[in-house]
Amino acid sequence: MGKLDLLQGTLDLLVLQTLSVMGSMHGYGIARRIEQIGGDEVLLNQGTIYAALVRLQQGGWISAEWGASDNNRKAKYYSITARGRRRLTDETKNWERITGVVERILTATKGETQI
Amino acid sequence: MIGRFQQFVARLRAIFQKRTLDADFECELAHHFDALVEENIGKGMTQPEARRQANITLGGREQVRELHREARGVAWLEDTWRDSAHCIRSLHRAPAFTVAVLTTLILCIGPNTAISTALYALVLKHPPFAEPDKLVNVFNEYTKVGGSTTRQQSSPGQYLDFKANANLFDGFAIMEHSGFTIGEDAGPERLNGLDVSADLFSVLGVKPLLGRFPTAEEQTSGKDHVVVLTQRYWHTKYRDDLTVIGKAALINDEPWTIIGVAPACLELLDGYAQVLHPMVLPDYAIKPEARYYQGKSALIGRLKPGVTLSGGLAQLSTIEQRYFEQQAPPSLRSGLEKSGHRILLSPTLEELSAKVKKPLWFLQAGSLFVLLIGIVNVTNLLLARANARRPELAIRHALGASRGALRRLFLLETALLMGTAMAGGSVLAWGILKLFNRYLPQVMPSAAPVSLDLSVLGFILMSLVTAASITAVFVFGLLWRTGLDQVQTRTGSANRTVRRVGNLLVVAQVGTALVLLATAGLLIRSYAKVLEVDIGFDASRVLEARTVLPKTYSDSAKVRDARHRIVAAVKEIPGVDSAACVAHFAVAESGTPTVFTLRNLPLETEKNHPLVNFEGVSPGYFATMGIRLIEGHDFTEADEVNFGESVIVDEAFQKRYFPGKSALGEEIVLNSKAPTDDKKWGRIIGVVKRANITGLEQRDGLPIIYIGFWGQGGGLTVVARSDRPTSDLLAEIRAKFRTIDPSLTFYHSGSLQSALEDMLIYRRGIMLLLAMFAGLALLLAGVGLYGVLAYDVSQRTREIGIRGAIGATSRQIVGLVLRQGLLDVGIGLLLGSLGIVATSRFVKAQLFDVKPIDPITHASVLILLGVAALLACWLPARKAAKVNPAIALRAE
Repeated sequence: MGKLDLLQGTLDLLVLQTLSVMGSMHGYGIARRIEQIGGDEVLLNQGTIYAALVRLQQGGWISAEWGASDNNRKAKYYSITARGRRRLTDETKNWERITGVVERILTATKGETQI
Repeated sequence: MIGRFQQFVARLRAIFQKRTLDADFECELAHHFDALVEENIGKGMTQPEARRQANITLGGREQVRELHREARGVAWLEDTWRDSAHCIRSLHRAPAFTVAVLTTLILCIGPNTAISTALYALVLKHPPFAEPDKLVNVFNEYTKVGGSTTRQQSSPGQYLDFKANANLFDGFAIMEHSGFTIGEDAGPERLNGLDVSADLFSVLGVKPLLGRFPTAEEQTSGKDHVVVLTQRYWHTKYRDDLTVIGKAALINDEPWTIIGVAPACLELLDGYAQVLHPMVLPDYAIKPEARYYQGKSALIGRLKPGVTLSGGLAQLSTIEQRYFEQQAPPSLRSGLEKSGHRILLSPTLEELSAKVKKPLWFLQAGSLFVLLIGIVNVTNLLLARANARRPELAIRHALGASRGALRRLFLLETALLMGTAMAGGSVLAWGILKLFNRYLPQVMPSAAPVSLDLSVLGFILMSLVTAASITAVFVFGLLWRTGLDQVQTRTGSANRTVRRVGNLLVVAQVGTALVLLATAGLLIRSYAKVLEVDIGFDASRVLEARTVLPKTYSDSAKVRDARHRIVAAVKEIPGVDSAACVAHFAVAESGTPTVFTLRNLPLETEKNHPLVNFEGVSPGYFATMGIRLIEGHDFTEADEVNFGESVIVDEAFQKRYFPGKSALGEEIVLNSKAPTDDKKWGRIIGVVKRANITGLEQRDGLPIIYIGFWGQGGGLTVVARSDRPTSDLLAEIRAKFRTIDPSLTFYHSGSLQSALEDMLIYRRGIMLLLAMFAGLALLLAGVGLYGVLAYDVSQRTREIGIRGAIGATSRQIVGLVLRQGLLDVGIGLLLGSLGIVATSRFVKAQLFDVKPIDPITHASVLILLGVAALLACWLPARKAAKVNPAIALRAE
């Protein structure tokens, strides 16, 4: 089985969740973390993370500031804002509802075809 | 929600911070990339392999940059920006097309904007009076006097009666022209004044600009020595001096107090007025029998809220009827009955703009026609260009440009063109208005100069944007529907649908141009006809200067003596052949109409009581003016004593009332009924040639009768005949006036020729503008026709080449193109002719001595347009004939 292609819009949710758990992080760190947690099952063009970061920052859900990385290089560090946490809660609930519904529908359909 | 909005704002901002954001991101990306490379090297890869893998993991650095840019900005705005740049480049590469479209649009937008602005400022825009639509002017109308319905102003008697008894009105105000003499260091000046009732200001709902308005108390003799300055006079004379209030001005030799300055809007009522003065109602004027004799005051009423014009009219008519039955003297009653008298109400707003309203709408219609032709031309050009761009569009489409993206390109290009044209058109309109303002005072003295109006410009811009969008979507839709893919990039000939639409547009253009040309032709012929009118006097060698005898000339003997001395003094000036004086302006559009009764010709039998214009003149007037005496003799000093004792009539009078006979010796009075005393009849002592002193267009107007200049004081106009230059002579006449009496004013002076020409400004202006529009229409239609055919020929080069190769002669090929073009022209001319018939009703009012359907004019414009069309068709046809079959086919 190949790697999972991320659903549109889910990347924002993953980034918010990552920042909410890990605190302040730079782009590379976030990408690595998502890949690690996803057990390398997620197919991620690491570059796409930056589109998500820009979107989230413009909406005021995350904030950014320049800092020095582990190897003492200049890097941009992102952290989640209060508004971002609220959105994360909402979106997580939303996600659970959707997956629940999708799952129910899928199982029901299977049941029908078996008859 | 807040997040989304904030996001949008941030995105907009991002467009303008492109450079900083790009640099920031570059740094961030480099960090990420380096981290990945390090990680890969840690896994044991070589340096190049590590970099390659890092790039793969990132998804391509360039793509990441693009993704980032897209996410942070407003994509469509950036796209629009990019597309605009593309459009500008592509328009730049097609200069002929761009220049043609821009010129056409600017020439259409400029005059249209100017005329719309004038129309809005002078006709549609309400004056700053309180609820101006409730204001009405009250007139006396006579349906059976002078051959047609005539209107007379109201009288103080009516004013007082209506004010006291008409409860459907919130108030009435009255005003009347008056003249004052103001003492100046350099000699007395004549002031144009307006006598007004104190309630004028409350009826209009205006506040003084400075100081106060007169009170009702100041409307009594002795207390009335106060004046309100108009803003214009305050500005020119007192240079906006704020301390002017309370100062004294020497008016009619007495110190009067300046109590206020009126706002500019009051000048709308009378543009000549310089001062306003409280009107003192003289006892004689408010006597019941003077109710109509004094009909020279403008009466303005304000309808109460909810009262209609007809409701107000009904009440005033009832009040008038009551006067008629209870107060009117019996003789007046019979006279009024015969004259078909009634009260007329007219909205003040309409009265203010009455004179310019019709011509402006007329011109607006003309300029809209031009705009129509222009838009058709531009549409045609856009269509041709779109068709020519099919290959390019097809390639873009194949490369992935969506239908929306291509349409956006069209919209943008059209919008760019329209925007540029709008800017150019506004500049042109500004220039036209500057010219217009130079002539405006002569046509509508009360009007303030017209300047470009933002709301009008906005409206035109909006219409243009709408027109541009519709045109662009239409053109693109046509192109899309007929299929981009049909493109045969090299040999493609013009698409049939596109061609058919082009032909339709040509038909519309030719038709519209014909209507405009015909109208302009009729106006030009009318103008020529007016100029052909025999003036009847020697306007080029006679000049006039007016003065007013002060009150010190108290009796008629003193007045006569002063008049004789003035005329004698003017005659003494070297180079003056002769001089005389007349009571009114020597040349004036309005004239002075009066009723009359002939002893031996009972006019009562006629249903319509006739009118004449009358003029009091001194001996020698006819010789000075160059008016030929046909019969009888000139006045002598003996005729200057009693009003109307001796009368000289003009040819028109003789022809109308004594056809085929001589009027000499007939008895006449300037009254609506015969005198009871035999001695009071006047006698006709001479007949003179018709002199059109009321203007050339009044050739068939009221007959003129001259009476001996009686012993009345007040104003008089000196006419002098000389070959000397006008300005020199006027200066000398002015000096002569001073030597006779330093308190004599000097005003309304100039040559009679220029006075006559001023009366034609109106007709000339309309004619010139419409002729300009027609010329423009002819040009645009010609260019449009040429454009369509030339484009068609260029698209059919291959077909024509084949025809040539299989033996068509060049004459046949010319015929082929000509036939196609002339068929469109023919249909256009036919439709245009129908248009002429349809519009003739509106044109009629502007014509003089020319019928709305005039064979000569219409034949000439048909020929003119035909020749122009033939030329426009022949040029592309010749080009087609020159197509070399070998070259045309080699292109395959």
